[in-house]
Amino acid sequence: MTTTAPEQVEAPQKGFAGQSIPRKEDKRLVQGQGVFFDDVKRHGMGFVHFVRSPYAHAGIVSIDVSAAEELEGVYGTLIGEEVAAQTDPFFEMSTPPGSEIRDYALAVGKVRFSGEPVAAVVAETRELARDAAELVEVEYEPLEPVLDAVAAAEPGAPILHDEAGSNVVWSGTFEWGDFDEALAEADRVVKIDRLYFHRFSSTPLECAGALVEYDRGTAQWTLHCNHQMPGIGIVWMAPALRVGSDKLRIVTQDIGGGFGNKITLHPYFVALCLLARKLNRPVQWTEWRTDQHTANTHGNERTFLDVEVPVRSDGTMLGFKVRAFDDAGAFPRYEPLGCIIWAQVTPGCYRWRHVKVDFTQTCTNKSPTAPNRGYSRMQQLWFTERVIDVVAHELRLDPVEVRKRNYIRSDEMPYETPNGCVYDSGDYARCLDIALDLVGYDKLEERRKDAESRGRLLGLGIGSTLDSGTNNFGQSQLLNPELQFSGNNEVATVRLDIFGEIVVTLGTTPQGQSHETVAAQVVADLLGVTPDDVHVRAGHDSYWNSHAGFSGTYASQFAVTGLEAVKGATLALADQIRRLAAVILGADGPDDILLKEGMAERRDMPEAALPFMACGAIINVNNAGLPPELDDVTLNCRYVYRPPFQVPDTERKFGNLTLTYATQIHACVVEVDPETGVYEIVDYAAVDDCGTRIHPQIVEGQVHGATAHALGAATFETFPYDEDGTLLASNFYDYHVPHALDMPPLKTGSIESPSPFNSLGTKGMGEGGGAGIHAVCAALQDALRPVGSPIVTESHNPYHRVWALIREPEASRAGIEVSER
Amino acid sequence: MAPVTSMHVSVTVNGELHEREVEARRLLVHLIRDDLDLTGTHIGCDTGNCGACTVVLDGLAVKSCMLLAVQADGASIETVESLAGPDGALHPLQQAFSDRHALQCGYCTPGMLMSAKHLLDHNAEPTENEIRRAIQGNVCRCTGYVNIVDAIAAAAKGEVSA
Amino acid sequence: MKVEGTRSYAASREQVWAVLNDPAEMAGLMPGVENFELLDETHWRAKVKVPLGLGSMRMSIDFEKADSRPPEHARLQAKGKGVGAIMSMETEFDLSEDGAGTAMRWQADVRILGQVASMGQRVIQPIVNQQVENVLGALDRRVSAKAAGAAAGGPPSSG
Repeated sequence: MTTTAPEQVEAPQKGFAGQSIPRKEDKRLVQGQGVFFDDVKRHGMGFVHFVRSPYAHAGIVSIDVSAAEELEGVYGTLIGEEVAAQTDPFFEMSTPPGSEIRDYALAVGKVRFSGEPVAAVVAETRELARDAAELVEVEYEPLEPVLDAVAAAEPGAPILHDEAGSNVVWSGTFEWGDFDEALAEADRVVKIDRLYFHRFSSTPLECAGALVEYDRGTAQWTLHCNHQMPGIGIVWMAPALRVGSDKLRIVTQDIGGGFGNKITLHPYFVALCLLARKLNRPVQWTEWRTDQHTANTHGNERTFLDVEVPVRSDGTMLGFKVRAFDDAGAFPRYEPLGCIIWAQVTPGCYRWRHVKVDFTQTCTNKSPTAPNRGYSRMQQLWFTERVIDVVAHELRLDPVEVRKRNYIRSDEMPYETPNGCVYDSGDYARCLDIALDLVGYDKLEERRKDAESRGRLLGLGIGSTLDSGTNNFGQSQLLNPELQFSGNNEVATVRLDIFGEIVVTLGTTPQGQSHETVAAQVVADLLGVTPDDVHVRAGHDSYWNSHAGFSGTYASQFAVTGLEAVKGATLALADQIRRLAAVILGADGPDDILLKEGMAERRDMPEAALPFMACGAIINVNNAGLPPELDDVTLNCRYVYRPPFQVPDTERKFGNLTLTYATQIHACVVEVDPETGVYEIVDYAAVDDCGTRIHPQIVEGQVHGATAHALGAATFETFPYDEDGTLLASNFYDYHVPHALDMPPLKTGSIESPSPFNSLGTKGMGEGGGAGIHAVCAALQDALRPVGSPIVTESHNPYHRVWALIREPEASRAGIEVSER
Repeated sequence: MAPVTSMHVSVTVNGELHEREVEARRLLVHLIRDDLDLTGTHIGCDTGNCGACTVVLDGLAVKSCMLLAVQADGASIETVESLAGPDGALHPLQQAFSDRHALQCGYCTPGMLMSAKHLLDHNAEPTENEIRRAIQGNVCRCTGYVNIVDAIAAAAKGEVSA
Repeated sequence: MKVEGTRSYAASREQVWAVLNDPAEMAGLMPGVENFELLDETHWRAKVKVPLGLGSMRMSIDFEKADSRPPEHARLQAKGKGVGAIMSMETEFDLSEDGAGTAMRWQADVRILGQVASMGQRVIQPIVNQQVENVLGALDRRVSAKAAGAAAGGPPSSG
């Protein structure tokens, strides 16, 4: 039990930051009083059901909605032709050929993945909308699908987007250091022909959706929804709808998990906007679970080919070379950003200086991808961890030793990576020691023997990862120098209202990250009040002025970007309160005013004090006679935080892509049944270093959650397609997410290496870099050494794959080669 | 004769009797959420796997998306809205969930609480394994269940903050 | 998915052929056929109710006789459309003389696309097997009845 009641803390100077105070969000959520988008109702609203393609790839010959429209209780329909006439394609971030792709709210002319929406029906009830959708007649002309990213790049592959003329969304090379020189310096070169990171998604429990209202008089739409990145969402939607951004009001309150899967909802939302306008009534759409799995978004699937790792005899690795293929699915949407985001963690945790990457992203006839917890970095970190463990195995080096030999050291921080990213702080070796301690590393050999005596194989694996937070959108220019995005921002307003209420408005869209609580801690400390005195508005409303271009909750942003905005606005408010109080109390100046326990008091004369309530009342309703030097005092302060970024060098693809780097080092112990391949995680530790922690309990909760996602993906969660392009895991029966009985006991540890790059010392965290996936792969490889030493080359290892590794260890090693130099 | 497409249903929810004419195919969860406006009960899947819609019906924890509203005719149902006292005091389970940070986004929480309540109503001193079994039909995507299991154990032992 | 098998009948090749190649006869053998319509010599359409776990799915299936060498070989293509599912099937059979009776070698390649395919991977194979069993069982009975009828001097079947 780590909770401390705020009343027990007497001196506010001691600070609420750093304490695990009760969460402000909890009272409503435990009572079922949260407001999720599906709870919002409007008189006369119509329910939307999308008609979806059963084909992965087909031409649309005709669509007939007449029978559906004739059904009593049906309000109307929408098809691709109307969408193409009334909207412009969403903007694409890639250079040609990817930039030529035309992506609309509904399929226009052809379908490119099974589950793609081709029409929408609106009716009086959900059930009726579904009935009516069944009456929509679509005639298709089936086309051959392409389902593999590497095959999609080959000549003669079926082309998804004829206008692009190629399935390649983006391709480019990255060269940092001097890889050829590294080869020359090496004693050995380890080659791995193929590593594969699988497709899955964090599948938030609340599906996507919105209630959309259209106001004819003002031509404005209001979307009550669960979009987790409204800033960029509006940038996608407004131009497509041919309106200014002011015409779109995005409102969220409580969101039932996001994990990145609610960033690319714009195609659906544009369809809803068109329907609300066409039918002149509010329309409501709640995605079905099946639809979320088949047609919302998946995480990036990545194939690594022709890996080469130059190594010195002592186990020092000098870098790597790889050809990577990333599968974007049918439409790029947030992509091709995944082609550069990985570069935030190019060398992982290691002192690798020579890197050569040939990166290609293609479209395939599968669900589009989008950021998924650990977006693109997780794939890269898995790659670096596999490289470490494969090399260690081939050269008979100890995986712990080889990590420590190659880890960037704490005395090298801040450390500039080969591509110009700056790792701000951290101590990876120390985190690893703590993790190993927690799983009883010193007794490992005894435990191995004990397991053996029970007919089990025991193995230990490590996952060392970084969680890069507050990214520099300028990295998009490394993909496409024409793009006009750079830097980052977040905004907050803090105001003192008429009755002395402290009201905070955030630009973020939390989905469980406790922003109300954490913001209140920061504000309380700066204003000398308690978090109970701070009222943080729940959710997001783009009509509040607290909203910026990059507003949202994604990519480990809040602890730095969000809190710096809160802090900036609060400091401005504190200054205004002091200036006002100095005048009213006749003090020499604002510096003579102390804010304490809801009062602004003179330092030299504590009995001369003005309650915050009086400050709020004076400015808001009793302001006659105030001197002109207070003209700018509004007690309503808005602050936009901009991280100190430069535009990266597009020639060298070089520059700082992220402000902070949190560390996650995990250690996993598995026991494998060699007869069946079934394995169990018998011990697990996750050690976190996210700099200064404002609320340790919340940080630990994020560590638990990220670990659960990783362990689910390691063993159970995968999105396989059949040869026709039909997804085979479209619900929670076939897509098994961890249940309470699946989760091993988790041990956690932490250290704090404050970030030198922001005033709070914090680092964004919560994504965990997929450390659990890496640790499970490593633990399995270690456990299987006595049965032919197979190499784990895939990120997803269900029991049957482990069984296959045991049966045919040589097959897994066929692509591994060590050459002496 | 045309098939019967709707039916008169009377259910007692959180102690209050409700009478509604409902479509035969309407799910109980939609009756609770849409007709009775008790939106604390959530929907997370189409297949009865996730448990976000768990309510207690005549003393049994059930997934209200797996029952038709007409099947609940005459039943007595408790939803998450019934847990806190009339004075607004939180139920020990609710308090324990908050104390132990057993919720993040809060979407699974109502169903999780109802499964936990059903457990504690029948087993005052559950072991950790019994707790995990009791909530195995409730999916949480945020917490990894660590703090949920802790919170239920704490509530059982009365270790909740005042 | 592919299913195949062999079957033998105590009837002549012509008798078996007659049943297999009469769409109306076949429609009568298939379970769940609610409506049947002959479009022309080689094309017909049936509305079929396919059992699917707890519920059932209505499909409109278009059949085309693609290849026919009486009385030994025939190939049939079928394309079906239902809610959330598209079905395509190619089926072939070869009849050979087997003593006094007839041996049939058959195979069918069934592909199902769409939501039903996605959700029902675990149930589709058994359902296809069951449907095939039903058809073959009905075929057995029908052929036996025909053979018995012919032996009793009934009218020869046309078709």
